[in-house]
Amino acid sequence: MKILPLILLFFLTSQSKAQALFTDDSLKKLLTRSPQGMIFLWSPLMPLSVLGRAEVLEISQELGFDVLILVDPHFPAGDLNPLMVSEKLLSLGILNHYPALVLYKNQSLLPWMIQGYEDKENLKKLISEQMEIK
Amino acid sequence: MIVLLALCLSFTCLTTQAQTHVFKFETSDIPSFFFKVSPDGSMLSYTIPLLGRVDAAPGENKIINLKTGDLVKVPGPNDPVFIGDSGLMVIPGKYQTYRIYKVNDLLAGKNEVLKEIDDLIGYYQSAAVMSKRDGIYTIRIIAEYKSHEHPYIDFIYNSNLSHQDPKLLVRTNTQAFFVCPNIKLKLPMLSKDGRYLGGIDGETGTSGIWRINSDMSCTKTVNLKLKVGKINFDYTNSKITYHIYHKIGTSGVDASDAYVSRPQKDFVADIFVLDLETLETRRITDNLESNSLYPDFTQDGKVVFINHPHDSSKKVSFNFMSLYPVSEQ
Repeated sequence: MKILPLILLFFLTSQSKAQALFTDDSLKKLLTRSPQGMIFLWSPLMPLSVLGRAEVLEISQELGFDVLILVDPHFPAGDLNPLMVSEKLLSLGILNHYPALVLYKNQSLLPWMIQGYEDKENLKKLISEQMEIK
Repeated sequence: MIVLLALCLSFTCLTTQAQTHVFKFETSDIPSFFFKVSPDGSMLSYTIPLLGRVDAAPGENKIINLKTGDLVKVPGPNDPVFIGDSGLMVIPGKYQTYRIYKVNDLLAGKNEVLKEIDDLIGYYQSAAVMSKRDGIYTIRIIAEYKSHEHPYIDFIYNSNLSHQDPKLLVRTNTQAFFVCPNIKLKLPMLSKDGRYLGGIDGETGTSGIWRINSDMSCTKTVNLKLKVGKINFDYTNSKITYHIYHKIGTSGVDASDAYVSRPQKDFVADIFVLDLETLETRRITDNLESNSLYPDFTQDGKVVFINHPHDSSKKVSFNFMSLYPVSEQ
């Protein structure tokens, strides 16, 4: 599974019929249920993050990782990605620059957040290094 | 002057001195969060994302002349950046490369490229005027190529010469090399004189400031001890400014004393200024229903930032703030 559709349905708190919230509880459940993967945050108001969203989905398929796409909590622009409202991720500075990519493995967030756009080839290399893929 | 502060910086010294809101410009556009202000504060440049597009380069660039009210569309998909007061602008061009234009040409609707820079490859460029004399400017531009590789170019621009003169722009490094090759660094932004940069330390994950040495290695001078948005310097290297997202009711540093009732609405971005001589951090905004982002300085010391209301029916504004009551200036 790459884009976590079933997990999303299970753990995201429904804010309305259209939009879900990704909270600290959601994060705990994600780390429990997904062995390793990526959380990608984008904003419709940051063009390079829009570009990055499509590319990270491709990378997730190529590397076989789960990926959860979150969107700017203040400007979802009609997108159905869950809103990033996790205080844990906020405290890590995830909102300070779009896009941001957080990796997790073995029920823990990896310490190095990838903040700012990276082209697909380089991002794939960085993810592989951080996840220690040979 | 920036001094070594790495271990002694404290963010408990938030001050509350009054600052003065001197100018607010509301726009009907919905710009991206990133924008730039010209050194004299007379012009703003920004990108309008083409919402709903998920293909490459989804944006168009604009400059507004605040004196005349003229708003012009300029080339490039994102991030038009003024090169100090040289009268030049650097904008992304072909894939990951850059183009240099004259600002006056752009304002006149002429999109003539002054210089293609094919070997400065990357994103998030920042530009600085390192020296100027009699219309001759020494300029530095850096970009982020890969996560920790940051090419730079230095060149001399003689504004007295015509477009066709081969000496108009003379490169002083023949090809792009990397700045700060000795450190892991993300999202670097040059100081106004090109001799320092602010960014995110790849080892600690926190923001900091580095001095650029003559051999282009870098020495850390300040550790902010937390991660902030892009750092911008003032014109004397005595202050920096940045934004931080935090919960309403907190300092922006300690996020432990607020209750979240409407999570996404209780997150706000506020503006801070760090005085590099006194180590005092001053909070410039105290938002409840909007985000203030990507602050920068004008030459006369005003802090300029963009404000995005959470209520999308309200207008985005650009705000000019004096750090001191106007009567004291």
